[in-house]
Amino acid sequence: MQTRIKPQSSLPWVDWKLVYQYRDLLGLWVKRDIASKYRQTFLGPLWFVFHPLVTATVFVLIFARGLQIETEGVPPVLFYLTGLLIWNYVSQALNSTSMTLVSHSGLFKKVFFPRVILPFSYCVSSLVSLGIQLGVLSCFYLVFVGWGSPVRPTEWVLLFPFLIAQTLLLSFGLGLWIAALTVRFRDFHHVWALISPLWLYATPISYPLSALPESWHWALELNPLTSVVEGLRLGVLGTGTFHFGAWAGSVCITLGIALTGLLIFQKVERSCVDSL
Amino acid sequence: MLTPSEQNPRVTARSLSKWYWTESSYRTSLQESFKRAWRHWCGRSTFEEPLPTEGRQGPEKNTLWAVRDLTFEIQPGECLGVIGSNGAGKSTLVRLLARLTDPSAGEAIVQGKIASVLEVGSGFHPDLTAPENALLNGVFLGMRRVEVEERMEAILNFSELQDFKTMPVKKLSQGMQYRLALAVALHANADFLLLDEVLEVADREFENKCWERIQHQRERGVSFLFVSHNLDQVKRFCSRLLWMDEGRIHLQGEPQEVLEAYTL
Repeated sequence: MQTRIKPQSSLPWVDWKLVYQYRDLLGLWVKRDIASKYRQTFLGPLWFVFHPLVTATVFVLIFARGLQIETEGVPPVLFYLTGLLIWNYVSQALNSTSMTLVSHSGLFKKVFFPRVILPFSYCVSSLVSLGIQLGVLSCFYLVFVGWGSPVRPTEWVLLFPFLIAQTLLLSFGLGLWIAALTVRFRDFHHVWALISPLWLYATPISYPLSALPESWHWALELNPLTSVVEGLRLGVLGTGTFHFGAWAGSVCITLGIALTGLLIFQKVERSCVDSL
Repeated sequence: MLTPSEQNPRVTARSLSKWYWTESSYRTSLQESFKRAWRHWCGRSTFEEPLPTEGRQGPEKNTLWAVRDLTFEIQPGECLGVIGSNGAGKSTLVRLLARLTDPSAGEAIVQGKIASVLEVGSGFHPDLTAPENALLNGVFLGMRRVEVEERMEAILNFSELQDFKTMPVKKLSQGMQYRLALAVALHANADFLLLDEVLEVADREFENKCWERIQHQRERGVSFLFVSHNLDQVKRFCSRLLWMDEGRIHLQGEPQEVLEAYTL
């Protein structure tokens, strides 16, 4: 094995061979992340049960009861919990991935390893809380079905793993972008703090896409999460505005974000150690 | 048992150079970035005055050569010591060879796997136990998980932590954590190991242990690069010395003669 240490190329790309060599780091870092999150917290993983429940309750009170937004005949709690499944995952994964370069600057200055493994392992470890929330949703689902609610899953539920994989990739790519921009421009996290809530309201989580005029749909479908959320609800609850054309577009946007994210992260990660 | 490829030098550095931005001019905020773009757009370049090429002044304004034109070789089994005053560029050299930062010019070719210890206990998690941290640390040093597990017994023996392996490392003393980190590094299956001022705090007994281990590794063809301010240690560990001054190589050669010139 030979290593050439030479000046940075103008467009550095991920050294996949090196990533493969360090593949064990992924599992170990996921374990470390989970351990550091739950050890010594009073309620541990229970936080991930409370969090969506509280948000869903607020949504029910404001959007369903207060503003009387129609949830396509689905019990509002199930409707919101399904959408929040995706949103909470994205916001949790983005929280840790976007801070990778800043919060681990000490480690990056002292230890060599392919940096992309860290943000990716955060996206993987966030799946744990997604699993917990899925459990919460299932409990409510069973209660509502037992109570005689007409909600039933459809065959679209088979898309579930693909939609989750897409969400993971999207969070990864976007996290890389934010991580790179935050380390380059320290004030970028203010920008992101502004964009993030706007993004939540531009995603059909507190309302169904069908509640908006049809002429607006294309604009919302530019948001790659729209198809993911609507597709998930179509599969789980049986209602949603989902078609393959829009989904294909959203997958393309996701791939584009992930690829450019890798590029910019790779570029910044090599040069930032000198300025951190 | 040297294979043909190991007849080549372990490390070949040719004109290895690196310059840094001095703090003030690196654009870290959006505001500065816009200002710079604006000035550029107005046609006023930021670099107008001719720059001196002497001294450590870098190729652009507000830049500084950290190391310049380093050309040297390290043979398999050799332990190269790097000495010099603070700011001579020793740490930059280590960071370049550890691949933590890229050179601005020149290149270095390393045959085999590189591992580096720039700080003792980097990446340790206080809540994890000694074996768990050793595992993570070993993987950071480029080992596979199973390779670290195979060596775990030896690592725990070397660091004398057999009786403490179920405790989280935050309960261990500084000295114990230090021994653990060094034990992992000295059991790494690397071909080239960089040690940046990490052996200085070892007590006499542990230093002897490290010395034996390093000799053993060197006999197997592993090369070392060793940065230290402790000249006795340098003399004891190294087979050749490199004296750096102002970012350049001032003198390299036998430990005896370099040290004589250095302490003069």
